[in-house]
Amino acid sequence: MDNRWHQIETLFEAALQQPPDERADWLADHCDDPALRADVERLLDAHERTGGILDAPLYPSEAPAADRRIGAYRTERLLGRGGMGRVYLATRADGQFEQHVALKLLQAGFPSEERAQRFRAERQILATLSHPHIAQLFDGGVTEDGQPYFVMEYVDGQPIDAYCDAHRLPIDARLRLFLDVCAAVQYAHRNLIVHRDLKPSNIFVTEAGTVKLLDFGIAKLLDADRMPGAAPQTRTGVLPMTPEYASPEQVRDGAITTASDVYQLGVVLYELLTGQRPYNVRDRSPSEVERVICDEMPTRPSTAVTDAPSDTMDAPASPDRLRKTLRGDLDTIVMKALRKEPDRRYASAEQLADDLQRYLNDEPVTARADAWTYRTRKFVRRHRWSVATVAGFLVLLIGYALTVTWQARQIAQERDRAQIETMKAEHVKAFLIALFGNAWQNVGGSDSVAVRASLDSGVERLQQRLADQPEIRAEMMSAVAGVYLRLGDAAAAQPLLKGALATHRALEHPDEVASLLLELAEVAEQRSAPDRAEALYREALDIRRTERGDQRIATAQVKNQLAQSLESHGRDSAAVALYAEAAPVYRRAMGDSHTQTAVLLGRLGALYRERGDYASAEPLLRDAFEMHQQLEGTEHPSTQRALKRLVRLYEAWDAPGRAAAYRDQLTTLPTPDSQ
Amino acid sequence: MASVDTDTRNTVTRLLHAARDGDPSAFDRLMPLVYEELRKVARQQLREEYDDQAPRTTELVHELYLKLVHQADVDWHGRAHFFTIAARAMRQILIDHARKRNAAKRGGDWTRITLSDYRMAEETTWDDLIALDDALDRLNALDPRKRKVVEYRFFGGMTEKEIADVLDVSTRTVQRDWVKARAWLYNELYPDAE
Repeated sequence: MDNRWHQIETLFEAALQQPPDERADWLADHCDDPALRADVERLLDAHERTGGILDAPLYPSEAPAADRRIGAYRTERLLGRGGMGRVYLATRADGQFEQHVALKLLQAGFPSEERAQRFRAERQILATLSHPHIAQLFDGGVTEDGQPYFVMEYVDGQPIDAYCDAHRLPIDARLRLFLDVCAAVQYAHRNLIVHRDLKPSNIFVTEAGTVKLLDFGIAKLLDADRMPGAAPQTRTGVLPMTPEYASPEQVRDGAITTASDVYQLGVVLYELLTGQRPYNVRDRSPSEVERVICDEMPTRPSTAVTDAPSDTMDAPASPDRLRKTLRGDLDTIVMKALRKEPDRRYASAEQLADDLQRYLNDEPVTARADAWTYRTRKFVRRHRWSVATVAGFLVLLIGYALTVTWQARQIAQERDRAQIETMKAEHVKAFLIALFGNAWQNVGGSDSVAVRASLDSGVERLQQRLADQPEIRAEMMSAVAGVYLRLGDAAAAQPLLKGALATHRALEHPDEVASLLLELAEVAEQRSAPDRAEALYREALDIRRTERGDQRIATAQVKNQLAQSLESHGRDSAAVALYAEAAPVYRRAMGDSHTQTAVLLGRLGALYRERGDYASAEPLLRDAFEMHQQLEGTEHPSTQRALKRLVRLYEAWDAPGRAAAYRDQLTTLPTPDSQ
Repeated sequence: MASVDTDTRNTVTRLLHAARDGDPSAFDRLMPLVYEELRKVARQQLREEYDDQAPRTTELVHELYLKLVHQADVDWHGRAHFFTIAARAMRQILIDHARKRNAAKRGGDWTRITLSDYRMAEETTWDDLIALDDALDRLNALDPRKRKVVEYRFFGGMTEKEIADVLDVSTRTVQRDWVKARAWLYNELYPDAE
């Protein structure tokens, strides 16, 4: 580096440390060379100069936005700038109206007069849109420089997402605002105008809480190459102006219909409910964006909220509460609006609004009818099941489990995993319940070979493919074990249940562990291992006592099961103790008019009678009889059995009169071997 | 934006890696590639009929980066290097364009064409740009690093931190360089200013 220059810059920099009016004196004190001093002084002068070429970036600065004349309007200040252009606050320059308007000046010009003509014609159509939730288009034109502009109602408010967060609106209030948005979109659709660029920054809410949609139809006006009535052109490699909100068909071939607006409404709703967008497409190439939007399933809103870092979202509730609110109907509604296939979405903005209204009214939503578990449940109800169908579904089920697993892998962040797995497990469980809950009555005989075959292969795939998804694998294993048990194959069910048990033990899921212990206990009984069964029951009982408490129905039910097992192996006194502990809990929790309570009291009463404790047996057996009679009628086999017990009690107790009174109600005479 | 063939992308990405790893010839090989692609994307901005519209350099450079580089394969450092090259290419393209315009208008009435019709008080003209370019060459002879700081920031839209990283100096040094370079250039460009 030049030595003289080095001297200059050192002096210059040191002088700059001084207050401006002392710099000349400082320099005179520190530099004897007049030529050098003159150079430094010139630099100091130049330093004071502002507004030179380097003081503004090499693209349009937005500072002097006031007082520009555009058409019949004069700008006052810049309201914002975006990809399309700038928006100014403006008034009529001719003083005809005092009213403020928003003037949108677009970046792109029209290369031909013909295009400018068409622009003017279409603008006229838009001006006819008049709706309380749509910002009115007043005027528009083309500047002398060929830049198109629009003049719109000025909406003093903020984007809907910012508004909701700023006011910390709860979900219901967010939904009600969104219903206004739907109403505006529906109105425009009835007038054959599609918005095609719906996003929060185009949906404003005034301080008074009124929704106003901006820029209706403008996106279409800007799609310059489409002649009216011409077939939509295939545009490849070109992304819509706002990829985050683009529908699959927009991304793929630029086709725009009202269904695209419904999709974009779904994206906005997703964002309002979760604080996130369904897809993250930032920093991705166009082909990646296309793949994500067209092929990837978005995370359900209820799952998305738990993944949100709390500081990025001004959530209307805590993540946990939010998740509970969203799960179910709202999840289903949003996902239906976001379907990849346009014809599987809501047919109109109005239908979407109707479903949200039903949700707000606590009525069943229509989207639910599409949800696959729901559909399956209905399908199961409608059809008599053949085993072959069951087998086919089983294959689908395994495939489904693998698909969701695969999708989970696509979601990169590790922290998302746990949430997703929970979601998947719930799906699988719901599906299995829907499938097998009703199907198995008809399974049996030679057809079960087919079921066996698909089960066996399914199990194999489970073990291999879900190795890194322990939770969902355990869920599937216990479900399939349930199927084996239905087929009477306890030997096949046992290892699956044990595997699931080990997983849940490792994950410290006491509820699942207790349930699996109970199932294993039943398997042990079927396989004639009463001691093993008892040990399993007792372990489950301990867990229930610790987790739920001794006096809870869940604990009492285990006591009841264990007591039945002990009773069937002749261990009456142990059984009596357990039944006696369970009985008051059943009466309290289930009530006196419940079959389970009646059955329990009847068993306990019968055991007391057999042991000669008639005084204890009598009230129990009489209550049991009355409950059965009330619940099921006198002639019902359960009631008749309770009657027989009561008659035998009085006979044994040497009270023939009372025995005779009850015996009259018997439809058949008691036999000595009936209990 | 038109798509770029995979070969170009691979080459650019590979050269960026080489540059980062200290291969000086990588820059020389990158420059023509980046220049050519940037010229293509800037062409529309620089068309005669849009003379009154500013070339949005920063946006252009970012668009170009997205287009030319496998982002996943290039770290923050490599990205900054890319921008220095793009800044240089941008400067060259703008100046080429400005000189061509002047040549075409030689002999005719001289009209000042504003780069940006939004800038009212201080209009940046194509003339100003040419003057800046000449001054930057002189600054380079005196102090190459300061020339780079101005070029990267003004033509490449890079942040002080990015520039500091590329030049392997502190952010504070970049700031001081900028102040000194700016004073020096303004003395050259506006010598009679009060």
